[in-house]
Formats: sequence, C-alpha cells, structure tokens
Amino acid sequence: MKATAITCDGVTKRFGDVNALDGFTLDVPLGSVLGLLGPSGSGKTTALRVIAGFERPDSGSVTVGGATMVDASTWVRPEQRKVGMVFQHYALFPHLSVARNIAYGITKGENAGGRVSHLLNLVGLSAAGDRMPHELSGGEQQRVALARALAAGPEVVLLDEPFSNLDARRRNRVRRDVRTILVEARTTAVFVTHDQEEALAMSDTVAVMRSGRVVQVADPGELYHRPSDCWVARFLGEAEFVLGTVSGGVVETALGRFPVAGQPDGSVEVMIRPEQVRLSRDDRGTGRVVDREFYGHDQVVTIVLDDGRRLMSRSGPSPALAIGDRVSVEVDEVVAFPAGPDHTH
Amino acid sequence: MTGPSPALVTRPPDHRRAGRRMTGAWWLWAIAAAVLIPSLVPFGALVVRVTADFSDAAAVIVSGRTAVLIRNTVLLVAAVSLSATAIGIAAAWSIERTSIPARPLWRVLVALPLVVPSYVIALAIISATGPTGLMADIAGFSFPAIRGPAGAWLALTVSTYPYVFLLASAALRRMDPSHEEAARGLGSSPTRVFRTIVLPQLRPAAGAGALLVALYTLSDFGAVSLMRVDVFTRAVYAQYAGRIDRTPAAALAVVLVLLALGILWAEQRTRGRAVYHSNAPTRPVSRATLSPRARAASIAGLSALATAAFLLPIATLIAWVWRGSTAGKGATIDWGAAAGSLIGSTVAAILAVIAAAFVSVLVTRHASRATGWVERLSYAVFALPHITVALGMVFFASRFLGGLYQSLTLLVIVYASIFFAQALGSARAAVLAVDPALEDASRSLGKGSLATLMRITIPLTWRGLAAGGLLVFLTTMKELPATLLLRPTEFETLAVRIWSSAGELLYARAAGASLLLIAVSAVPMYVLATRDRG
Repeated sequence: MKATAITCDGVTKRFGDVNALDGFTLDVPLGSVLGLLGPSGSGKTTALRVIAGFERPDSGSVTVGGATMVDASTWVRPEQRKVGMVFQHYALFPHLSVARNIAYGITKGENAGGRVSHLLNLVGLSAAGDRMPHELSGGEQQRVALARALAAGPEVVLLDEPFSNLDARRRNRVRRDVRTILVEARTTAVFVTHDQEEALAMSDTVAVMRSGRVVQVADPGELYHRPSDCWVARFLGEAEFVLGTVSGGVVETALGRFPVAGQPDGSVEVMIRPEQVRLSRDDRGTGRVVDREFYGHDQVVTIVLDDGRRLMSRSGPSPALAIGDRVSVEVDEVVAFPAGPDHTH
Repeated sequence: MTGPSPALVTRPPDHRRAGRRMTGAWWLWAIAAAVLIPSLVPFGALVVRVTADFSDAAAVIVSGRTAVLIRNTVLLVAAVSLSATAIGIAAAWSIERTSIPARPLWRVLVALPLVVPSYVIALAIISATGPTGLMADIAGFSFPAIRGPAGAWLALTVSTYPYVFLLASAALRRMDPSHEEAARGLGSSPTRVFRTIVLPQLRPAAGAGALLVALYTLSDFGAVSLMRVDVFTRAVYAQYAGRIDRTPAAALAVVLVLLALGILWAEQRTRGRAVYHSNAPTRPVSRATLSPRARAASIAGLSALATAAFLLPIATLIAWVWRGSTAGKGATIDWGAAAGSLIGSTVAAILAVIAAAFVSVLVTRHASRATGWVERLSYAVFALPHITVALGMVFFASRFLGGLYQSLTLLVIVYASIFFAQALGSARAAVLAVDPALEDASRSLGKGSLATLMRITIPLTWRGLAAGGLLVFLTTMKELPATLLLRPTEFETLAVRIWSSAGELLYARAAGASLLLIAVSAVPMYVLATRDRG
C-alpha cells in the first residue's frame, strides 16, 4: 500500500440546511497530484477548506502527513497545519511585493532570501521579485501564489479552481507549468476543479465528488473508460446510453451486438462515447448525417438512425461527410451498467 | 459633498443569513466587551437608581410636569423633523435634478451647516436678535428676539436639514432614469412624474433622514438649553445640576431613553426597507430644464438657505469677535479650551479606532447572532441621548469607580464608547472590502489570527479606520452634555466654553470659541468629504 499524505474519513459539514460534505472519505497518495472533480455545489471547495483548517467539520477526521488535524477530540488551527493553499483568485497580499509575498510564510533566519530566490527561479519569475502583485498577469500571479504556498515547506499543497481565472488560450500552458512545478517540488497536491478535461489532464489520480461525497477514485484513463456509474460517465464527457440485454458475455442493442466482460445476464445500459462511434459513407447504411462540426484536428458528426435515435461521432478530420449522407455505424468496445434508476441523470 | 452623513448612521447589517455559532478568538470578544460595557453600564445604573427609589421616581414620571415635557419635546421633534425634511428634499431636488448652474458649489454651500453644532447656531441667533443683539446694534432698531421654542426650532432645523439633504441627494443620484423616461413616454407631465415616480423612490431616504433628524432633536441639549426650552434633555440637566436628590433626573432620563428607543425602532424599520430601493444607475440622471423664472427662484431660494443657515451665523460670530477685540473684552483665543477639546477628541478617536480595528474583524469574519448584537448595541448607544449615558455613568462612577469619577480618563472612555459605532461602521466597510482569502492565506502560511490582523487586515484597512477616527474626532469635538456631566472640574473644552459663555451673555468670547471649533472641525471634515475622489 502506498503511503498517504492526506486521509479524510467520514467528514461531514453542514451549512444551515445544506450538507456540503456528507461522509467525505478520501486518501491522497504521497507525492501525487490528485484532482477533486465535481459539479458546482458538490462540496469540493468545502473539502479543501476542511483539509486546510478554514472550516471545522461537524464530524469525521482529517489526517495530514500522518498527524491528526481534526477528529472528535483534536483541532489543529490552520496556521499549525503545514498545508499550503493556492486560492481561486490567488489572494496575493496587495500591499507586499512579490518577494515579500513569497517570504511571508518563511520563518526568519531560515535563509529566507536564498529560499525566495530559489522559489522565484522555480516558478520562472526570477526578475519579478520587486514588482507588486497588481503589475503581474494572471498566469504570473498564479505562479507567485504557488511559490508562496511552497515557501512555507508544506506537507501538501491545495489549489482551489486554480485555472478558472485564466482565459482559455493561456490555460493549457499555465496548467503544464503548474504541473511541472509541482512535480519538481515533489509535493503532494490536491486541486479542485469542475472542468473534467482539466482534471483528466492534470492529475495522477482523479476523485469524483457528488453531493458531498467521493463516488469514484481512479487514474484518468481508468475513470474515463470505466466510470463506476452512468452519472460519472456522463459527467466525464459526452456519452450516449442505449438499452441492451446481456446474455453470455454479449450485449444485444439496437446498434448491434458487443462483447462485454463481467456483466451478469439481464438488462443493462450501454455507454457509447462519440469517439467510439465510427462512421463510413454507405448508401445502405442505417443512419443519416444531420450535423457536422468541423474543428480541423477533429470533427463531431451527428447522425439520426433509422429508429430515430441520435448519435454523435468524434473522429479525425476524415471521413469527409456532408449533411444528408447516409452512413453505416460501427462501435468499438462498450461499457455496460446494470439498468437502474440512475440512467435518468 | 458626498459627506460623512451616511457613516454617521451606519446601519447594523442583516444577520438573518449569518451563522448561529459564536466563533472568533476570545480576545476579540474581550475587546468587544471592553467597548460595550462602559456604554451599557450607565443604562443599568439608571434603571437601578429608578427602581431603588421607585415611589419617588414613579411620582416624577406620572407628574403633570412630565406630561408637559413630553408634549414640548414631541412638538419640537415633530416640527424640526417636518421642516428639515422639507428643506432637505427641496434643496436636493433643485440641485441634483434641475438645470441649475454651479451645481458643485451649491452642493457644498447647502451642506456646510454640518460643521456648525446646533448650540453655535443658537448662539448666533440669540446674539444677533433682540434689543441687545447685533442686528439692533447695526440697524439701529430692535429686531424681535428669537428665543424659546421658535428659536430652538430654527436652530435645530438649520443644523439638521443637511442630513436629509445628503441622503436625498444620494438617492436622487442613484435613481434609474429610465423609470422617469418611461413615465414621460407614457404621457405624464414633469409634475406628475415627480409626484408618482420620483417621490415614492425618494421616500426611504427621506424617511430615514427625517427619523435621523428626530433622533438628533430629541438628543440635543446645547440649542434647547441656550434657547431655554422646556424639553427632556434640559430638564434632566436642571434636575441633575440643581438638586441633591438625583432620582428625578434618573426618572426623566429613563423616559427620554424610552422616547429615543421608539424613534430608533421606527428608524430601523424604514431603513430595513430602504436598502432594497437603492439601484445603481446605468446612465446619468435626467435633469429638468427650468424656465428662466423658475431658475431665478431656485437660485434665490438656495442662496437664502445658504445665507440663513451658514453665512449669517458665521458673519454674526465674526462680528462679535471683532467687536469684542475692539472693545477689549474677552475676544482672546481660548487656548486652554482648545487644548482640552483636541486632547479629549484625539484620545477618544484613537481608542475608538483601536477597538474598531479588532471588533470589525469580529463582526465581519465571525458574524453570528451574537456579533449582530454587538453592532446593534453599539449603534443604539450612539443613537441614544448622550445626556442619559452621561447621567448613568455619573451614578455608577461616583459610587463604584472612586478616583476615576470626574477624571479625564473616564471622560475619554465614555466618548470612545458613545462614538464607537462611527469608527466601527467605517472599519467594518473597510474590512468587508478585503478578500477573506487574504486572511486565510496568511493563516495557512503559519501566521496566527493576531499576526494576520496586524500584518494583513490592518495594513489593508487603515484608510477606513482613519476615516472612522476622523468622524469620532469630529463628533467628540462638538459633544456637550456628557462633557458637562463627567469632566474634571478644571477641564474645559470649546463646546463647554461656548455653552457657558453664551449662557453668561459673553457673546464675544463664545463667538471666538465657536469660530475656533469650526476651524478645527473643518480640516477633518474636508478630508472626509474629498477622500472618495482619490
């Protein structure tokens, strides 16, 4: 078993009538980057604030670096936790220069000057030490905030929606920068996001939250291809669901028969992601193209099957299809879920 | 003049959404208690005094004399509220919503009486009119003496209408012009638009202003005592000063507190609704184009107002000082009283600001029902007549505080407690403008709550704290009844000097002290009025 940097066990936190956290349980492996992914209102930020010590849970326990931070009889104040935090709007102290922001958490006498310049180097801002926070771009502020959090030598770094304030064009680069810095600093990091693409791209491990609890923890590939239920499947990316019947390791659907592993016989829902759907022009095919969004590096084609069902296909720039073309449909491997009330989500 | 008036009446916020649990470090609560206790103890002392001598007190309360006082007080409060509200709205509308020239100049001129305390206006009226007045002297015939209820009404109207003016001006500037344009587009005349669209939207601000005026009038001691009007504040002081048995003073003070609580309650109710009416405009407000005659009439009206409310009183004071100095009788500068005012007001302002720096963090970052009460109580103490706080403190201090009674220390503590709400209101707004994530960031970087307050919150809020301090300084400079009751025997302030000299008909001396007081107040007033423009 890998060592854990953070352990949350059965954490509950109510705000008035709202259960922000409802039995939140999570282990964060030491040295990994974990993405806490969930829709807004699922309790992600509250979970982060409980770990940091800004909120006191109603019940449950939190352990950081092996030491209990909070349980029924313990309460460690945020300033004693060694938990670094990067805030959504960065929260750089506006009255302090970049260097003094970074130095803020360093105890005097710890060779503060050397440590500050090392961190400025690490985040690629060695010339910006004397500037004031408002003189920096969003991405630079982000990196200063990260350097400041790392400066205090935390056990873990928490990042609250770290990329939500950056425009889409800059987001990818900053994301890569941040990941590089975190890996270089060999820190355990937890970041909160509602953007599934960001969670999949940034994380070693993704924990999906819903209604105040973790519903699945997995590495990005596993999560995308083997979601634990329909809700997670839909939340992680576009997916169509078709009803089917399993018998003897094969599922029979309106789109054809597919092998499925490990499903008992009976009714199931079959998840089909657009990139699993392959189309080819075929005058005797079962579908007709009704829409095509062409992005250059890929395209999304919407078809209507003869039974009226809509289906989307994502593929490379070819085949060249036009609205009205008839197509035949092939589907790669599929994932099936026991049919249940969940399929309405 | 965006003026300090809104901050004078900072409204306790809505706590319905705040958490129930009390949080916040124990030392924050200790400081809140340290500020509130000196202002609450006096009310306890009043109640104890009244219940201890209950039959005597009850006899005072049900006497015909009390009935007369209630009638006089209510009449004066109603008359001043009506006239100040009417003048304030009329001035605000003609300045903000008509095509009058030199708008910025009028804004300042009409608001200027704010720097003149009510008893100085009263002094100017008394010393200018009547057979021995300045006007008789200059014009050569006896101008009718303006004294008594009419004099108090005039002095208080002049010193309170600026509050209504400032609130109504702000409301008029905030109004969304599209409502009025829509009404015009539907065929309404400008008069009908004013009556059906503008006035209803103005009502919350005007109502709040009127109740503020009512509270001010009820609490006023200086003007009514100089004008010799038989109302509660003056009666409480007379009972206190003139008799060995102080139970009647306590009984009257309790009735006065009840009247004030009634007004406060009404005020809170209208203000609660007022919030929802404020709406940020997207465009500048529309202004009515005046006909040449209406324009001349507006200019004449505003000129008359500025002249009567500010220029004439100041001219009267200057004339008295000039006369006094040429006649060689007592127009010297009261350095001692000026020093007393400065020391008392400065120390009170510093105390209030230090306490507000801490308590504002408590009431914003740890908002709960309990902190709601901290704010409500500090506001209530500020709004209640200061003479009642002072009288209660006299009872308590003379009995339990020994050496502190009639000491400068106790006086500045009482000042700081009474005016704490002003410092708190300003500090609270400043703290709310600071992103709480900054404080969280500091905590997560290993700094405790006190270090975070010192290194993050206070450096980011000092402007707001300083503005609150200036407000406390200004109001303490003008304070009269608490100073009279609690000052050390040798301690003088400009306010006391003005009041006592005017009472002894030493007008030149009173005028000199008044001009000094106005000059000293003008500096922080100017800073406050211009600070929002960078």
